Amino acid sequence: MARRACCKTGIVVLAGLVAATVNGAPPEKVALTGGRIIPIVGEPIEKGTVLIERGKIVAVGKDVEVPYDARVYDVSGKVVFPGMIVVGTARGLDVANEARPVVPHLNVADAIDPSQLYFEDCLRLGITAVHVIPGNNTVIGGLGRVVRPIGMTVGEMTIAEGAFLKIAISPRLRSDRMAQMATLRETFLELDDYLDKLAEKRYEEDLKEKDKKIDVGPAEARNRGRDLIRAEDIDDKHFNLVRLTGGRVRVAGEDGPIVAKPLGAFLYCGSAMDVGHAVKTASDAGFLDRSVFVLGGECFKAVAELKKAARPVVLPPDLTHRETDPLTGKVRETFVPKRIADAGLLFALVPGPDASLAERMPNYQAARCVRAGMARDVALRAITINPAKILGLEGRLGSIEVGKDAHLVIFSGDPLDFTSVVEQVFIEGIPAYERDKDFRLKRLLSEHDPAEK
Amino acid sequence: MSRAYAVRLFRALIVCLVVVPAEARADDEQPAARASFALRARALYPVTADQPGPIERGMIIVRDGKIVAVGRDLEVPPDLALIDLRDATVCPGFVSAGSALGGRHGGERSVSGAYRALDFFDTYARYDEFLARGTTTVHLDPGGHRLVSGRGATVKLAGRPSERALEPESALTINLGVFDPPGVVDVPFYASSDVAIEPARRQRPDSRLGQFLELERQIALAEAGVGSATGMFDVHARSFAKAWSAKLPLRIQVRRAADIEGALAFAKRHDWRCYLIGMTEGDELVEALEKSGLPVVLRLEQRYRGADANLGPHPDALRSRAATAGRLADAEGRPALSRVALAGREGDTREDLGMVAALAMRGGMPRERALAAITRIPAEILGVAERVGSLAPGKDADFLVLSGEPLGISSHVLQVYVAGRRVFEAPHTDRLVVKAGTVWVGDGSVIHDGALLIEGGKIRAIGNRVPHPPFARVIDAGRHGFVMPGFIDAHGHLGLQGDRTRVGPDLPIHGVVGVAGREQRLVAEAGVTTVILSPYRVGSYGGRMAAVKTYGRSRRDMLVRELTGMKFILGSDPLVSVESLRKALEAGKKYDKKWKEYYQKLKKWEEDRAKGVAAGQKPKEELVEQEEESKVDPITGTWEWTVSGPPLPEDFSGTATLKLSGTRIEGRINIPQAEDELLVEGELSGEDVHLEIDFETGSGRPEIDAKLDREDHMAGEVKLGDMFSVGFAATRTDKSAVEFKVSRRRRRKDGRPEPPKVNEKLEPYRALLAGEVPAVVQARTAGQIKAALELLVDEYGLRVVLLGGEDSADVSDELEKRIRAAADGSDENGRRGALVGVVVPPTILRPRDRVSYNQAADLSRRGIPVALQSDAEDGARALPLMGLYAVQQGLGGDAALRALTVDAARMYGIDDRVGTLEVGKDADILIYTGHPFDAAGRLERVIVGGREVAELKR
Repeated sequence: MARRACCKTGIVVLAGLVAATVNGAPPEKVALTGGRIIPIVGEPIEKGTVLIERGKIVAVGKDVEVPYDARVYDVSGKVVFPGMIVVGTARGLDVANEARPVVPHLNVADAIDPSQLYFEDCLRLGITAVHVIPGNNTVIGGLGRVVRPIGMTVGEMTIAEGAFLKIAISPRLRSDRMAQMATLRETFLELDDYLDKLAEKRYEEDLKEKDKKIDVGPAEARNRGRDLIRAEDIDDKHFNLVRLTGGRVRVAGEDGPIVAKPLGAFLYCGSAMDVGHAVKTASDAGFLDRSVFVLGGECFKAVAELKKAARPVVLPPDLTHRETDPLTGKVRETFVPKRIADAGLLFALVPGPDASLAERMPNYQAARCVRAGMARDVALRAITINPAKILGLEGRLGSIEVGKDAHLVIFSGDPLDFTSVVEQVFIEGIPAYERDKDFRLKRLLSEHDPAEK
Repeated sequence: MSRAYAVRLFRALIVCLVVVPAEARADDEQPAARASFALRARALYPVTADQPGPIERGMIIVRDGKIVAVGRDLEVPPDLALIDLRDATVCPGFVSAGSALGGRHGGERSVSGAYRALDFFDTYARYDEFLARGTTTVHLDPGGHRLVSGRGATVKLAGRPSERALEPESALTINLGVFDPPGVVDVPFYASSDVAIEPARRQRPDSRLGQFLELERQIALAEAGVGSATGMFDVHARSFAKAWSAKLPLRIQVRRAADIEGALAFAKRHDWRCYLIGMTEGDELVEALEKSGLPVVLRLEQRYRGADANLGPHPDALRSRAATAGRLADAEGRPALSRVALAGREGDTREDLGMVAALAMRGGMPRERALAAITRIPAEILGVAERVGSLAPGKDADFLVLSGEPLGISSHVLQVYVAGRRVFEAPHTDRLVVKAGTVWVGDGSVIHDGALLIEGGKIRAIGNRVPHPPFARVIDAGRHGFVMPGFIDAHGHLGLQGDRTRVGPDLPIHGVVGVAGREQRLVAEAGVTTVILSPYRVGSYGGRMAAVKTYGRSRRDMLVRELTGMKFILGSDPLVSVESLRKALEAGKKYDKKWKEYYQKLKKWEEDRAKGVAAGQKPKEELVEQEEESKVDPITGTWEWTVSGPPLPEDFSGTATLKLSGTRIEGRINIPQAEDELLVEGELSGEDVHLEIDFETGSGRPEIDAKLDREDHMAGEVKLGDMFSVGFAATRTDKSAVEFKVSRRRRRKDGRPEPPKVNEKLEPYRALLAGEVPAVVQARTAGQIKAALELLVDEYGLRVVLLGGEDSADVSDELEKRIRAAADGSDENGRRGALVGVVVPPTILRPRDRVSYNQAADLSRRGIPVALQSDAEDGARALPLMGLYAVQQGLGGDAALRALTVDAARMYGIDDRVGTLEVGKDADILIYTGHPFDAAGRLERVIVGGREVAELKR
């Protein structure tokens, strides 16, 4: 126990150290000069300059005049790359999922732990934005949130409020597809039932306020009560579901007023058969056009259905799917990103589990795609601007363009080169990470002999 | 080496390169998986109510995945391809009404309509294991573990994912005899101190009585309209009410007689569309079931795959009896229940409907009904008979291609079609089973209703019942089928293309074997599977004969033996020709002796060395000497030569490229008149150059003898035997072509004897003298025959085959004597010389003493083995007719078969590979209808090395 406490203290102190270097308002003006800029949108610029003012990029190019009062970082011979974005992960939470299956009222904001080493690792890997969202072991899992890996509190970390609920079509552990689908259908049926009753109740309350007596039957009461429902009348359990179905109250089959901002969904489909159910569930409940499909290994088989749905997809971290023929034992391999890219879908790559040394780097995932024959810019977009678009943040993140937030990674070489390392990270102009000052990495690389201590 | 032969070798090579891939392609190419086609099978089972099948040579026409016509002798529309399956049968894909593919839902509610089995179904998965067992359509069940477990579905196991669901909601599943469902806990949302968590609510049924009570209660609630917005929201009750009011058919699973009675009463009360499934004790209630008119799916639950067959003490462990199937289907000769479908055990993930039907048949269900009970009847019960379950116009083209009849225990599914597309293809195997009414083995025995198993091109089993390995193809020749070994042409020239060059024994005649071309194909199609390939003409030293197949994928497939005999021709004057033959044999014997001595020496040396080692001596090391050739040598390079002097009318010149290695000279010489270069080889000794041009003229090879008279120049003469010599001079024009090479040559210093030099010409004599191959002597007159036998058999102790022997009748007594002596000739010196048989001339009937004489019949009657020869190239295809003619002219039918198969094989010592149908022999098989030498005997198919010579043109 004592040791654990000690450990925890250590982490907090360390987090504090990291935070101390990054805390405070961003420097007024920062200039990165002499590097090779890969802006993602547009051609690479050799020996270019990126000028940052108050956390925003104000100029990018070859002939940018550096103001006298700018803090200048000479990054000659290095590569300036947009901060990479993890489009969805349950890392950063203490546990990925609540034990109960239907919890649309939960919000990851309550569970993100800023002191988690995961966020420090993100900096080391060049990830500057993380969409933290509940895991796949759920039915309706709760609301996500986009955060940056620096800050002492969740509020400080937040880049954007959550706009997506996690919904799993594949069954959770110790469940089955019949039960999973039945629960999902039940949730939306129950929502209809709840709103019907709420409309009746509101009508009754309204009459009471006006000191009138109930004059109509339940059906008519619902019709009359529909427009009386306000956002605060809806309970927590149903509020996010109403937002999911468009933020509009729907009673007795007819639409009422819009009471809240709509939400989208990250629909987890573990196998190809789930895609059809996902599309049907989303279109029945009216959130298909705000849906993102999170795919498992064999989902590429349902590429026709995905193409028809024309929604963005998140690829499985294991990019190669293997299948064994039960009769002949022949193994067939499919490189998933290629199939998805060929279908013309907007897709994002996600890093693999922490246990793997290479796949947890988004740029390694992109490099694998290039190795398998994908165009370089398509692969690079899948770890930068595509996730930004999927999260609706393409106006702020995902590329090096004037006006965007200054999320920048300085690589020692080409990002797809396996020998390149992240040298520096800027988040909204704040120098968030420097490899030279990475104490833990130095220990790992044995620059300090642990025996000395 | 003769030019024509070289050309042939080259051509064979080209054929190898071009034909093999083309053939391989032809084999791999399957009829394209189109959804429109016509298909004909050996037998077709439509399994409709009025046409159960089989239709022999029945056809089915499919357009866009739907059947448009079924029958015999249908006209194939001009735009459709015909797939002709000669050996396979076709029946509808099996329909499983009791599949375990649905799984069971995890919900705890005893009665719920919320669970849909379709949610469980993976539309993208490949169900190859089910398809391999013939199941194409299944009913998915939400589970047999709750009183009302949900809504079932009927799906296809293959085809486009979007088209697999036949009926998304096909039934509401009721399970009787399932008690004690788990309690239900409702956790309140935002549980707090003022919202108590209630203890688990118990559910019904907990008894047989309670199950109907609970059912009726739920039905009453449903009919009263529960789950409307006024009450508590309960998705389970609400969805049950919805399913009930939608009048989904009821699927009632019952096993015990008591429950079946209850189910019948329930069904009567609610007069609903419903069917019963399970019915383990259904045989006790046949009459009641008959009266109710309800369709029934009988689960046959016998376990046959493993040891978990103990019933145990559990009260619900019922003994399933196959006899139930018989009782339900057949009440004292008349059908009891009109609709009985069959299914496997509940929860059996490897349900095999073919095996289930076999169990039912063992229990007394007629075969025809058993087939319907796994195809049409379950489709009717599941309400999908409009689409699947039988083969009739308008239905989906879902059918199986089977290796045998549909319910045959050794039949395997070879292909599965769903919606007209081939969705399953059995893994490729080279295993083949051939069945026929008569199997003529060749060793004198005949097997009636016999079968052969062929694997890897060899016969693996023969008998009345042979193993049918999974996915083996089956050729059923029928009751009138006659199966026999392939014919052997005992002396033919297939592939020589008219080359009548006189050849020596150094010519490897098997070299003409390439891959079956058109000629070979013609011969193979006639049933001649092996040809003893011989040169037309041979010199006094004789010529090699080889045994080759007429059909095969590669040279290796086609070559039976490189050397299977030595052909000699006795000239018209026996004295002269016998003398030259003796000379050749003498040379051969001398050569053989050298080798024998060498082997003796080698053996002794090895023994000595072994002894030495045993005595502790260290064996002398084998030394390897390395010789580096001088970089500049006097020969290597390009030479320009001129030949001049009488009798040449004028000088002519050409070039040569020579290379010196050690003292050996090799190279090519370019003669302007010849089209291509010739090889030269020779030796350099001091300054003398001796070269031999590799070009066979009538009288030996041309030789060059020259002297290096100065640097880069040689002069001498070209000689051709003693007949001819002209002046020769050559100048080296180019030394740049010199190649430098360090050669490592082994020179043994350990006293090991050196082998004699190989003489290709005499090499075959070693096998001949050892008695491994026969001497095949072409002799016509009595004098020749006698002289040949005396020389070869008596003097040299060889095995002899008489080729021709036209006048054998004059010496038939002697021949008979010799054959008999050879038959019981026991000899202390091992194999002794003997006459082993006569290859009669192709002219079966010849005048002799002014009457027609059938030599084959005569010799055969005397017990002398006879073989038939074509003495032709692709003319060998007439060999079977020759046999037929010989039979017409008095040769026994059996003797003719022997002459064309086993006897020929024994003469040439290739009976370890061909000639009989025995385990381990090559699978060269002919399938006749009727006896091959009956007038109406018809050759149907030819199999060589386990591969069928594609469709014979008849």
